[in-house]
Amino acid sequence: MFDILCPKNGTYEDVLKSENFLPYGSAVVDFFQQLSKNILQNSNYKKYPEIIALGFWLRKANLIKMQKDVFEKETTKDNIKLARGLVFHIAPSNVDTVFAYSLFVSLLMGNRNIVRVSSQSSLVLDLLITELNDILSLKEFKSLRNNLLIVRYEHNDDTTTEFSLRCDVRVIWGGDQTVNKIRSLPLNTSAHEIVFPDRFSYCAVKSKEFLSLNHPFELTDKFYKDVYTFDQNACSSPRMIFWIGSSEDNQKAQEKFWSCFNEVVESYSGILEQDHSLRKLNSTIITAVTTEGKVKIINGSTNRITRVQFDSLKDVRRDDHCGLGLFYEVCIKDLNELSSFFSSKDQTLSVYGFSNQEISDCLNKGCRSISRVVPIGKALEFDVVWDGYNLFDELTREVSIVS
Amino acid sequence: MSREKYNMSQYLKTIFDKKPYEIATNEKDDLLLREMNELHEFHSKNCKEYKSICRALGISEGEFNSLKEFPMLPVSIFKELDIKSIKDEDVVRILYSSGTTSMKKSKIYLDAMTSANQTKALTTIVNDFIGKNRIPMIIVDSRSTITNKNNFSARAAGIVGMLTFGKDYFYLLKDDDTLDITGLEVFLDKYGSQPIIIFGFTFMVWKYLYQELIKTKNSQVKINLKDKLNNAVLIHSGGWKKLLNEKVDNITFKNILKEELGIKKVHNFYGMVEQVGSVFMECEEGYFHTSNFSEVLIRNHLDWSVEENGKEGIIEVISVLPQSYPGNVLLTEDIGVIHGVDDCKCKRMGKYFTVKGRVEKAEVRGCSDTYELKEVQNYV
Repeated sequence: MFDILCPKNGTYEDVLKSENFLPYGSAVVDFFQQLSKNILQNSNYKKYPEIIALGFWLRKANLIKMQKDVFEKETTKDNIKLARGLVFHIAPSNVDTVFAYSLFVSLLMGNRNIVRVSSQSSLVLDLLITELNDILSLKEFKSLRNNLLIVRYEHNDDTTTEFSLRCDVRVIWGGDQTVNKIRSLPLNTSAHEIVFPDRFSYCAVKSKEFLSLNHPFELTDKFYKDVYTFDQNACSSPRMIFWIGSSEDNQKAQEKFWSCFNEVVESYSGILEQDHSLRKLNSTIITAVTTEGKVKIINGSTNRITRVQFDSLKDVRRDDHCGLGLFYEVCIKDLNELSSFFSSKDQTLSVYGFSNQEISDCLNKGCRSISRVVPIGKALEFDVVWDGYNLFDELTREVSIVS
Repeated sequence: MSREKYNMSQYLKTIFDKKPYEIATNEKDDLLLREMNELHEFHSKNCKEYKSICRALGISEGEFNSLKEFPMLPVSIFKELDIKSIKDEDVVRILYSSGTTSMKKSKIYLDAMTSANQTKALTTIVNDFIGKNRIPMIIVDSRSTITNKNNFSARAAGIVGMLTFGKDYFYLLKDDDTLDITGLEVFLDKYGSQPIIIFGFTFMVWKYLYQELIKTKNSQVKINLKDKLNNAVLIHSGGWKKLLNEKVDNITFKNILKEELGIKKVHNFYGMVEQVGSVFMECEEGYFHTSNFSEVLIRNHLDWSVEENGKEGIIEVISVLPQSYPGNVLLTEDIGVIHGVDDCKCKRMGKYFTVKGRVEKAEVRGCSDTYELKEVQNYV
């Protein structure tokens, strides 16, 4: 019915029978320490920035910071948080490290876990699983072995239903189609569900601030990583840029930005797939039609960068966007114009040149659905508060003690 | 928006008056450019979608100086959007691409003039290969494919389009898709020694005319197929995907049909539902040819620049026939290479080229679990 990738000799029965840990239990924290050390000290991982990022996230300092800033923030002295039990994670296929973050946050909260990873194999996934297996085979981490089970199977409703009926939380990554499909399968009546559907993310640049930058390449480098690491298809990768300022500043900032960014993209990028060029052409032509021509299509020196500049915010249609290095743009005078723009499909806003006060002023004016604001360069960084969920809260149950 | 009917220009008249492969490139480029500028102006006035696209691409009013400057529409947009340059009441026919029910299909709106021009162009082109007389015809398909009114497929449209070249039609397949061996024997007894035309879709020809027929030949077929098919001309189209899976390319295909069935004249053609009529026929040398009605450019996907002859790239097809919809300049999803201009050994003018296959679907990284396969475009 399914293949078990981790731990070696692991069984489904074991994970069903074993006991939860307490949140932030020492066994799990020690395990993360070891994993972090193995990742950061192994030079073979240097070419995989997403694995290195995971290694940093697992460091003890970060775990403690999250404990103070997020986990303990809203817990009163009398109430306690406990693991929910068995968590069934359905991981996305192509952002290889998501399965790990999902699993690790849940483990840290003391839960037992079944993770279905994509049926397509990937290098990063295989490396991580090998690493996990190696550490779990050490004697000191024996107690963890029964608390996680990483499985692989072709999409199969029977298997997914079996896990769904046994779990206490079902976590679905992977976009609208996957969420709709899995949601049609029954879930244990007392279970809780967390879903991550398709999202659209943005970048806002204060043009004047950008123009005063002496080293614009530092910023465009960071932007490159946000966008091209996952072909602009990670849900938090910016797909649209808001240029904010006077029309003169906006125009100048665009010119400067795209000239730098073009250089960055052309020097970093490898092969451009024919299919990707075609899909971008198709997407832009459809946008031209659906907006009745209220856009300007601009190509970079190659088809690696394709820009679609909208006449105004109200013409923007998110559905036609295909990722792959396609940049919607719109020039506006004031950040506050965005407060009525966002929709429930929207997630991350990467920013440059704004103070926290300016951002929260805009959000407080009624932004419906931005759930995350980060500086440019951090769009892909995993955060335990994701998509509006505090995952520590979602993966624990709070026991109230009334005296 | 004011709509007006397209008037046949003097350029289009000239294009139709000449034989399909007799205009050398210098002259043809000029004719096509003038006609294409007329069509561009017409669609800009009468098709709001086309106008929107031109606006978005920053195309200002006025004429283009060369064919490569016209905006390319990806063929797939006819699957996503309903686009036409004529009033609803002038639509005489809608063409759909083939494909399974779950796939989006291209939808092409024709008015009387576009439809007539398509037929006229196709006739001119095909006659250049088989002569002007209607000759007995074998269709490698079943009659029900074209009589099924509920499901008039692109395959059916393709067959109906070819019927004008034949007479005394014989359908090789019965309605249950088995071979009509008796019918074949009667047909070949009667006509087998004279020129006949065979038409079918490439994979149907391979599967039925070759594989199935050979299987039953020894036990059931009493006549000598090789003798009887000696004067046959086979015309086929539809793409090679299924055959390439069986490692059958064009050369193998032709060799086998010659050795096993005695069919010496085999012409593939490259065409699509989005540009019916101006098909690219394969000549005796094995190359597809542009005709008076059409042009081909090879595009480099890196920046859409035009590749020089001999270099592979994505095929852009240009046709002067579409008037009822803005389908004159289309970027296909096929890879091809132009081998030369005006100097093919077959003596036909124009560019000659080969098609190497389809652009491969590339993997996309991202949060989505399911990579939705974009449907494969089908030829008529």
